[in-house]
Amino acid sequence: MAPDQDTDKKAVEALKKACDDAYATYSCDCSHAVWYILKQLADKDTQWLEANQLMHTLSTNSSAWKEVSVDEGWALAQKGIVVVGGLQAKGHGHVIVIYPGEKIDSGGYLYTYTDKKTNTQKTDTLRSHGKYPRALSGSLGSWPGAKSKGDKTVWDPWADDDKFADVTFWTKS
Amino acid sequence: MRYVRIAIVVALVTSATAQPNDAANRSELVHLNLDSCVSLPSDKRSWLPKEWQPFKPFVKLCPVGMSNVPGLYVMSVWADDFYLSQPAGSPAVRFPKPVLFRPDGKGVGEFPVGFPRDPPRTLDPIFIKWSGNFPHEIKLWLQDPAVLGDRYLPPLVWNEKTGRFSQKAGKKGAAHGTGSGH
Repeated sequence: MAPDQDTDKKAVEALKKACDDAYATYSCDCSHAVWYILKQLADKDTQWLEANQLMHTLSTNSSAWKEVSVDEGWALAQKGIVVVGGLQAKGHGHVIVIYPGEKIDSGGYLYTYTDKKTNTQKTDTLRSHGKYPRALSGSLGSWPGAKSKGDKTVWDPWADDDKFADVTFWTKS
Repeated sequence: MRYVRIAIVVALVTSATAQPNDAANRSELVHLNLDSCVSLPSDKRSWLPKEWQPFKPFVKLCPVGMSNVPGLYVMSVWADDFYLSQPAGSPAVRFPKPVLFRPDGKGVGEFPVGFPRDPPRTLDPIFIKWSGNFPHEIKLWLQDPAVLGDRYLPPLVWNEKTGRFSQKAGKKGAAHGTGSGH
């Protein structure tokens, strides 16, 4: 194995472990999960920021962070480099980290909704909207797509093609 | 006593003249009654754009109005009906956006998301600011189980000059929801 490949493999293992540990501790809290990973792998002095604040900081601190596309972010995660993704929203935004590994189909999990015609609760399986990089994502909410230890994709927390187009991804410069 | 009598008369006259078709500037909120939606009638098949043809069996037309005569129609692909006809586990499909039609078949706007469902979301359009039998604004209540949560989308507002509904610009990336990610 070439030295570079060996280094990448170790970095990928470290990123996986940080993601898994973050999920074990913060599966109900996206910003703390991301903070944990940043502390482990990017900067041990990283201050915790709520999701909206974190996304604001990433997008305005161009000397420290640069925006990448989702595919660039996926390629970086394959080398064990931390890539943070997220979207600001009124109330609470949401942040994730790209989990290393092959891309997988989005969707595939059950969710419930209220049928407007019968006013009853129904269960449906969310269909795939394509293959995306895996995600580390914690969430307090009940949406299954936002709880991921690499088993859901970066698309799933939003589960919306139009909104996902607004999600941005960032890595350290 | 005299003023009370006049007030009663005004009320009686108002109620007597408020026929269903005489709804100018009424402020009622009208939700779409899904039970009133029907498969595309044969006399309205010409409304169907070419790109909708693959979804023809799943297209429904919902009348909107303050009377028995609709002032507007919503034509949309019912996603759940379409998926029921597909094999389990088949991928999601990008459906054309629902279109708003005047009774003469003129397209006057579209919804930004599928109706009644754009899985996993459900859209509840609320027709307001009525002038006669025609709403001048449509509020768009989106029930979204994902992280952005339930929220109003920017409303569709009638533009007299263009003869179309257009969506008021919303702040990009700032969903006004009840999302639970953080």
